[in-house]
Amino acid sequence: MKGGAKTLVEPHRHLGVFVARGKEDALCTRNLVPGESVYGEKRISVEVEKPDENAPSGVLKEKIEYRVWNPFRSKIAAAILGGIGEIYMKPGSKVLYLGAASGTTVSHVADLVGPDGAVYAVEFSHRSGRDLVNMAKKRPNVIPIIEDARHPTKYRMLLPMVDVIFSDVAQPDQARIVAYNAQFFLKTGGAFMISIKASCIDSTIEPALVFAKEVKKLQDEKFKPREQITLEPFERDHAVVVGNFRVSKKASTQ
Amino acid sequence: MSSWKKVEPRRMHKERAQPERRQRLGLLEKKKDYKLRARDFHKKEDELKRLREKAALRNPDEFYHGMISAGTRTARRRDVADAIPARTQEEHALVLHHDANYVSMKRSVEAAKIDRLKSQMHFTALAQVSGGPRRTIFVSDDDERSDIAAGASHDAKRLPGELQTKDRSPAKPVDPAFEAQRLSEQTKVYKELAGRVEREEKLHRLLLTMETERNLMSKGKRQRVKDRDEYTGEPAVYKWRQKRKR
Ligand SMILES: C[S@@+](CC[C@H](N)C(=O)[O-])C[C@H]1O[C@@H](n2cnc3c(N)ncnc32)[C@H](O)[C@@H]1O
Repeated sequence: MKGGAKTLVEPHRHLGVFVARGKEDALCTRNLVPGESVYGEKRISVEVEKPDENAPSGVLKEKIEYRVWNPFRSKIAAAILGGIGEIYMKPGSKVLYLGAASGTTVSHVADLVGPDGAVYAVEFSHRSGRDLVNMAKKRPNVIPIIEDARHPTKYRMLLPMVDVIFSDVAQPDQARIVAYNAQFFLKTGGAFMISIKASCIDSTIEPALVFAKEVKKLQDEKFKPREQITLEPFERDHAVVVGNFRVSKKASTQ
Repeated sequence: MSSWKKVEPRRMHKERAQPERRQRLGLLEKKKDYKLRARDFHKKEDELKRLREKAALRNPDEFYHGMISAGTRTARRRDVADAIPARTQEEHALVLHHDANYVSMKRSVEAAKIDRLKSQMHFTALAQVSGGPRRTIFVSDDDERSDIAAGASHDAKRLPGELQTKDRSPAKPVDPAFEAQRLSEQTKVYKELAGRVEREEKLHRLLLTMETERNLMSKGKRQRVKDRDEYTGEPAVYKWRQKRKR
């Protein structure tokens, strides 16, 4: 084996997320559809040995493929690299994703939650929606929904209760949109993660002030923000806020 | 025996390089470079001496043809200016245009390479360095003992972004050789990335300067509204006076 080409993939603190170390220094997720990239991202495949009685040598070599998750294109990846304490999504989670665009990040979230989880991806632009639908054809755990996230009643029939709502709609009334969706679909005590682009909400005041105002709005909507993180150096004037929904006082002190 | 000395292997002498901390002074000067520099210096020195002597011994009453044939036009000696074949405005504009195209091509090549590098170099140690992203943890009064407060201190100990080791079956010992090689390879790539980013910025500023220069060749009254920024290298900004169109 060539020394230089070796790459080690190790699990990250957040379940379902991995870090590739070698010549690259990259965040990645385990590819649900080995052999294919979604948006031209690099794939890394490593061979692992698994004990197996049936195999002659006692071990079975298995190839695992990972996809590199670019933090310059995904706010969740940027937040993870920034050291966010909790992402709430993990293998098996059901996630409602608002503002899915072409599905670049959605594909990684789908990898993260794995075949036992599900991602309900809402996007209102038909143009981006096309790519999203194409991506979803290959991933059975992605359910694309081409609707306006302001009208959750339109897709009420498609969704069960979810564990996490992620939103990146880049709209000034994002907090309201998330709250409205949470009322319909988010489990009590479920989690939210929203990405805030300061310039989309109010470009006349300091970004830090915009974030603080958004956090206040969320608190008014029965959300309990836990943590906020800015996304430098991957994005400028962006923040991600995570927290829980409808936590009773008792539950939160346990 | 002296002839045996030629047979035994001799040490290879490598040329010494400029030490890292004197890098700003450029390449390390060697004897042969010094000789060139010294010779050039003395040549210029002699020439200056010769001219000074000539000036000192000059006869003020002597007649030179330059006295009547040379004059000044816009603060430049005409005989000198005339000696350079002039480019027409159009020719000059064309050259500028080609140059700008070339620079912009180089810049987009650089940008593509930066994108490629950035897509696989993610600063995964970012969370451990100071001056990284700003984390804010919200703790309300009703949960002093809450999970998040615990989580926060837990995190502080564990360092955010750190790899999870707890449920990896017996933590594999890290191979120090692999680790060292990995680090040196990554450092190389990060250095390349930094260099390319810097170059791309330089090309961008150059392009802006060229554009300004080209605009300045156009007609119309204008005024400089901002001087060239010596620090960042951004070009001066001009504003053209509106001309009424008929
Ligand atoms: C910043 S992009 C999301 C990028 C994506 N999260 C990613 O990381 O790949 C925002 C997207 O939200 C969509 N969007 C905006 N308002 C929406 C709404 N009310 N309902 C659904 N989608 C919306 C836009 O069409 C746009 O594609």
